Amino acid sequence: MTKKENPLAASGARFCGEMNASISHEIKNVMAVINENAGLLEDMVALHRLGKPFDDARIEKLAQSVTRQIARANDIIAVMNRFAHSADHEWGPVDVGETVQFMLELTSRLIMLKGIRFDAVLPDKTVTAFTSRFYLQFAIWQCLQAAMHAGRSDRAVQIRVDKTETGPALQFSGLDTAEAFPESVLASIESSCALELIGARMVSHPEAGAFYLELPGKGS
Amino acid sequence: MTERVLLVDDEKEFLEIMSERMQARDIEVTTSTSALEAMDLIATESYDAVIMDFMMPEMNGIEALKAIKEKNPEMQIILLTGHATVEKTVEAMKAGAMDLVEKPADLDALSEKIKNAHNQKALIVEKKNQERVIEMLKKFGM
Repeated sequence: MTKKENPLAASGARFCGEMNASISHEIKNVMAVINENAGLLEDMVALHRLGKPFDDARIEKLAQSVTRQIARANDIIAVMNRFAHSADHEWGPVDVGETVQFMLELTSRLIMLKGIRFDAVLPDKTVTAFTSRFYLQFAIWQCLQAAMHAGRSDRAVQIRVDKTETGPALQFSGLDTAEAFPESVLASIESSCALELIGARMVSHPEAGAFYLELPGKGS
Repeated sequence: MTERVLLVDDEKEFLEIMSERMQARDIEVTTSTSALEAMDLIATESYDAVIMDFMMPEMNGIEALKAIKEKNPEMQIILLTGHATVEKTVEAMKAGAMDLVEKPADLDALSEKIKNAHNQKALIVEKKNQERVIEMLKKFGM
């Protein structure tokens, strides 16, 4: 039997791995804070045994910190769970605005580490694409990465979700128009199997510091 | 003698509690939420060790480690990470890290590493002083 890598399956698995690694780092950070809280409580008990009275206010603050971290972990796990189940969905209608918002939430730490801000402008009415939810998420992540290559720390990258004559479209604007415009990155996304699978198309406008992801609407 | 540590992490709550616990162990702690700010502090203050998160905005731990080591080769740097993989450990050690510690960290074990960093730095300073004396003696033909 010969071993042959399916490029689509491999890139999808890498996307899953990247998201899982980021989430596990976030959970580790939460655990680190809780661990320090527990350690501080142990220190306080040890000092109490030596005769130092408990500081009620400090203990209350520690309890509040643990509660805050548990709520934070709960949010992280909810996002992780939603991402995990996104692969269960068959090809069908997907709310594009909601998916963009979700991807910004899922990748918020990775975006923060790059020092780039995204502003999403979502439509009043739902814009629906007929596609694979999981691979649309992958395509959006690829676009976010491309935008981060050419994003600027002094201004936010705008993501606009629109309904056009041909179908839903995502516009990324506010990028560098000079050499930093990620044309090579866009070209690699354009030729990626994920776009072909979801029936999407990339259109770049380097002179305007913008690019579009055109998605298939109903009947496309 | 009290050890002096610079603790760098973008998690403010982690910094606050960790520094409180270190201070209770007679370790003098300065905190910073960014690698760039930490580099400014290192330029003006003296520390026995820098304990720094691996993943931070603006400049990550490895980039910061390389930048600090370039200007202060004697600085002892301990990196904190969510997952201490073999690849990450090798990368950190190659860049000159004293150690790579996985989060959540055991403070008693970390305190030992800080003491080692303090001793290591004292040895480097002593060696430098001895070299200076030897140079001077050579200069005067002694």
